[in-house]
Amino acid sequence: MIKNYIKIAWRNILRYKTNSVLNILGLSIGLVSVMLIALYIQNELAYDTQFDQAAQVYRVNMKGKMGDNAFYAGYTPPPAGQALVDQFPEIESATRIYQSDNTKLAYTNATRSKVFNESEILAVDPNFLEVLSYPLQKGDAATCLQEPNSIVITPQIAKKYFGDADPMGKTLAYGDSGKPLQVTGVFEDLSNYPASLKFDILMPVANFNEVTYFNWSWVWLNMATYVKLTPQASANPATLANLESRFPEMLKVQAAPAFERIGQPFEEFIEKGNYWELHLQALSDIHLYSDGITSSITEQHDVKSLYILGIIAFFIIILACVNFMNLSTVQAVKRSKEIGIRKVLGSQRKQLVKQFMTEVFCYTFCATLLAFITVLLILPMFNGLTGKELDIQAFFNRNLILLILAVVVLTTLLAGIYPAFFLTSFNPIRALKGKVGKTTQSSFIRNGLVVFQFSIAITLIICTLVVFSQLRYAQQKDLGFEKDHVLVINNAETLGNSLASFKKELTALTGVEAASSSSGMLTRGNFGDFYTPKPTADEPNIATDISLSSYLIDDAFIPTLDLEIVEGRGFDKQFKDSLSVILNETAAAQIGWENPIGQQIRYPGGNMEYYTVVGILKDFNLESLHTPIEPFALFAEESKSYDTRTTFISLKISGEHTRQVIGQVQDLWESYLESTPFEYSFLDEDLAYAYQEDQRLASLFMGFSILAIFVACLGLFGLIAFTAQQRTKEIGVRKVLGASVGSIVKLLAINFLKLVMLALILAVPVAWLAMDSWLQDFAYRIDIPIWAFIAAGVLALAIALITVSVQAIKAAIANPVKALRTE
Amino acid sequence: MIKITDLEKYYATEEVRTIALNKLSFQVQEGEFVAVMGPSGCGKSTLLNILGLLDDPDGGSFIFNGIEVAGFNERKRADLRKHNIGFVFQSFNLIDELTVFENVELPLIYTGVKPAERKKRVDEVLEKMQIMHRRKHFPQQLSGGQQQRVAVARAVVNNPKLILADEPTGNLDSSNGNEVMDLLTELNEAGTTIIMVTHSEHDAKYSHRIIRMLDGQKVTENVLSEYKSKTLEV
Repeated sequence: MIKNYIKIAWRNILRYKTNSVLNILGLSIGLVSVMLIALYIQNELAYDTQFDQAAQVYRVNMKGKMGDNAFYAGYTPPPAGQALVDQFPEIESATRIYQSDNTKLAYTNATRSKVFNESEILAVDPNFLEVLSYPLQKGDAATCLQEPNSIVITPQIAKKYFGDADPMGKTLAYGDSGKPLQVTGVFEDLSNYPASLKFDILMPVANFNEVTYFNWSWVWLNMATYVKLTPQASANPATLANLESRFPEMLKVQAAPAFERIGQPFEEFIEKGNYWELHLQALSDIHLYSDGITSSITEQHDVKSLYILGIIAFFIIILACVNFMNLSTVQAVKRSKEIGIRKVLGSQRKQLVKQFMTEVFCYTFCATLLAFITVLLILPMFNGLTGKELDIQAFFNRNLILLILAVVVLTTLLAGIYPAFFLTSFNPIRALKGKVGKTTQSSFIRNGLVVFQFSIAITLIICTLVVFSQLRYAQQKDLGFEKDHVLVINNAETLGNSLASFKKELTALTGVEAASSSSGMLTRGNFGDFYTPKPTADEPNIATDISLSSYLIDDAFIPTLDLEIVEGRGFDKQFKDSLSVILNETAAAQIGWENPIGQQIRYPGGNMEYYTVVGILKDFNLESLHTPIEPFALFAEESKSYDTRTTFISLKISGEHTRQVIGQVQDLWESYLESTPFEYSFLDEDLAYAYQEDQRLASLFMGFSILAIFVACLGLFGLIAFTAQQRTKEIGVRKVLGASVGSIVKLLAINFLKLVMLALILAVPVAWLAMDSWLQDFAYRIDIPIWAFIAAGVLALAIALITVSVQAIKAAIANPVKALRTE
Repeated sequence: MIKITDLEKYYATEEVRTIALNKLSFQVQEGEFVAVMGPSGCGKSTLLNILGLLDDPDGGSFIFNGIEVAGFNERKRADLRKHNIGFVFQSFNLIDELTVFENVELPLIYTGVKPAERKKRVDEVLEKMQIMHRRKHFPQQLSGGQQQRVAVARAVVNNPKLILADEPTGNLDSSNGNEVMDLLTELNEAGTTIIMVTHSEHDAKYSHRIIRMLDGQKVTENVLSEYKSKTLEV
């Protein structure tokens, strides 16, 4: 019996070619979407699950509030880890991670020298690999980071410096001082290793003086700490909660001296409504559930985007099933004779349902094969879009295979059940006469399905348009500074004492309009600390403390970036500015000064010196528009108010002959620093990078929206073909009576266009709600643009009209005699 | 074999109720060949559908092989139908996607005959209908006469007790039509009961008895002379 079913299914697929192509294409597009999205989600969920004892590992996060500034970060003070191990038996071990700004790495042998800037260097405690068991190809995880002069690298780094030679025992020179480090371990290839903490190179943190220097501090938040709990503690949520509840007591004791030292006695600090808390976050939650937790060393995605993609995949497969249902029921008329005969010959309904389900399965089987091949072909493109490195291996995962099987079975059921029951419900006599599928009930369902499909497609179009206009807005918004034609050179700290002469020579180059240096740069981080404004007789009611992010800058910085001073002045050689500060509007407003110029702030973290406010800077955004503007300050380079180890040079260039200008700058750089690679970027590109994740999401969104619309159009195409066929006689009669082609196209198209209009009406509120909630994530956002709705409507109508017209015209220009004869 | 008494059937639309069968009664004995005649809309096809257990009457009694079948549900009717009744239609009603062999095989599949047995029986009947050489062809590749021979083959492959033929020669030219009528006659002579709806006086002459209908009622019934001795008064 099954053989008979498959045989007739196969012949039907071949016989009704258009219908089969539409069905299989629609289903396979749905399955391609599901497969791609499933691969993506599976990869995202796999993050940090592959380590030994991953379930026992937690990141220590710090939640704090100082004055008006609240934060939640994946960073902790340097002594926190050891203190936790000492105080709490549940915590077995702790390991710390520090990202240095110094990135230069060199290898020299008898014949040649290789120097690169390595951006993925992490400095870690010696026990790092015992907590996070990244797999080693060579070397011993327990000992390879024990000696301060050791370094552990990925095979890619080994290849880059040593070629095919054995890297073990070779020496690399690190940083400006060229400190020799010996390779003590080589990792397995980590490029596909799903871990939130990514690096190319590990070295012991003991090499970094600043860490040692700040070992006393409970406010220097530049290290990440991971702890490993005992199996008992990590297995039990109650123990875990109990553990966390004992942290505040520990902090009160341990952090007190450090707070005392910065002029903020801890008890007093807390009484003022501030807080300083440690929290544990499960390793497996870091990648996807760190919304609001800052960390620049871990790859943190928002789990929401997985939900969105999952929903899109779900909708596309539903669209494809709806398509299938619709196209199959319209096939009913063509198939009704067969059904009638089978019934007359004694087939029971059960058998017919089985037969149709077999047929649907044949379709889904073909569609699945096609989808699988398509996915393999487009995987490289998809990787480009998502920044992942998925390959065919990713398919061979039990859960994924089960999921895809489940989707195929569900699709078969979903797509098949309605047509199977609909088709087999015919009265055999009516079926033999072809009098089926014309009832008002079935056309109501069909129309409903079309409306449903188009509602989803239109919603997706609207969302795509809104997402793109928000991104455009973010990238084009007047940021409060010049971002075009600004070249940023990294590693300028290597210039040391020749910085001034280098800058002088730069300004002399043709095409360079201005050159400046600064300790921080937009999107590249900054130095943050705590300051206390000084109350005066005129303005006694001001904030007692403020947390400020700041750069140390030279005189040329403000003009180079075209920053706007709204009150007072910028730094200038003619004044002694080593004890001056420029605040942004937000900082001045937060302190509460009415007349900020001439007021003072004290820096307890430094030498308790007072800085006088000389200028107020118009607010601008340091990072992306995701984050609101924070209090920000500029100090003069010569203030040496703190010690950062980075210096950036920013150049304003004319915008003509960019290539030559860069060439000249590079020549100059190399004449100063032979061994430090010349690295630069354009500020506008750096800013765009801040929106990369949004851009990716938007591109994915757009890609899948296009697929959804395509599937919906396939359905519409099939339906109008059916309508035209059903009305063949009517069309013939009308033509004999003198109807024009245009009037017949209108007759056929108008109903479908009405359905699309209805879909538009349904889609608008859904899209509005969805986008309104998405936009909440941006500190600066557009109002949802009305034109997006109009454009989506026009687009959907146009696509529908084209689809419908193709079929309608075909029906309308057919010979009416032939049309009449078919009845 | 068949006894219908006061059979009634209505077709109702929103506005009108049409009476298709109006208290129709007659009997058919096993081995008879009965022709039903009458103008379009007189209820012939409705009658055939009810006799073929494709449709349920709205009133009256229908006894088939001694069992009252009026009111049977779809499953019971399908079961009775597939074992006892073969159909021949004016428009042949072969399944276009199946070959000649497969079309004829279909009733055997639905009655659960084993594949080897199916092959044997289909081959036999195709041989008998002289259509064996076209067994692998699809219906569209055959002439009308050949298609109707396939349809007859399909109707008899299960050895039904009753064959219902609805205008079996309606779509055929006269020589093909005569061939089909000869086939039906042979089957009848071999013992199969046949009820045939027809417009054609010529075809009706092949039968033993002609029932003429008008407006859902029987108007006359003539037993063709040479068979008078065999038939009973209704």
